[in-house]
Amino acid sequence: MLMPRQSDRYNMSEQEAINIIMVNTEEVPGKTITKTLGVVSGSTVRAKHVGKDIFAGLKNIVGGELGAYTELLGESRDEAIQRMLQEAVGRGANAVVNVRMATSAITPGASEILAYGTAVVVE
Amino acid sequence: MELFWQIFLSLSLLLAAFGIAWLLFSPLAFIYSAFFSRRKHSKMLDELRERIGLTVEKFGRDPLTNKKSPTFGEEISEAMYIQSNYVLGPGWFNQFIAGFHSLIGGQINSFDDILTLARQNCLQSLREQASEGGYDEVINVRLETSRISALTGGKSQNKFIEIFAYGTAVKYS
Repeated sequence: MLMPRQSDRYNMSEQEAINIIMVNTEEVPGKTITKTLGVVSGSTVRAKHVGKDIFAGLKNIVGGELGAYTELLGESRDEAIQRMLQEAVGRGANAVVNVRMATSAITPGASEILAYGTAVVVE
Repeated sequence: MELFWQIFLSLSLLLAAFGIAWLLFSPLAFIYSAFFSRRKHSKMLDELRERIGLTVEKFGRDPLTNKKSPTFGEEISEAMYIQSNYVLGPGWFNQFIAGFHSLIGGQINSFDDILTLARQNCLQSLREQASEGGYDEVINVRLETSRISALTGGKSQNKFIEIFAYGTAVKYS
């Protein structure tokens, strides 16, 4: 199963979520990779409701941090990472290395977050 | 029928009132932005520099590096992915100035300021996360910039900038 559908995704147990290692370096420090299981990815598209949108627009008059958006994108990144890890665990990996992130604005008000990396077995 | 017209009239009056309020409000907001945004941003930048100074002092050096392994080749016992993001509203005045500069070219100092602010904020957050978790160094730090847009304000207004930083926090063995 190379491309799992959203509904087929493996549900991680809490223990598995704690045990899986995720790094953005090429190797897991202090461990050796015994097997690679291919590229895994997770993505999510999110938008904020209009009320917060307008508020952010008003905050933008002077400029500065827009908390609502920071929070929104932080949450969606966590979600994307979670989906990527689920796919990795579903393939029987215990670590994901070389994680990269990409963001693209697809329509006004919504953006897509993509997380991808290589699922590996480490010892 | 009488009731219908009453509702129609009151709704259109309300809409007109909003329109007039916006007409009055937006130039005032622009002037406010022109006078106060630069000051606000440089104040925020000063506060941030102070915070960075404190953390760097605590570590004894800057813990961030974008090399793939620790600076002096130390052995690693533990690694963890950390990330941080910051969505920046550039402010009306900055957007106006940027549009103006696209005609004549040149450097836009006030825009530089806020981008520095956002980037350093992200990096500082990585440093803080590392120091909270008791990590010694953050390796392979990467920065990303993307533009997101809000639903409101249609045209060129309300283009926000998102800065995202991520890296691997490590503990020496």
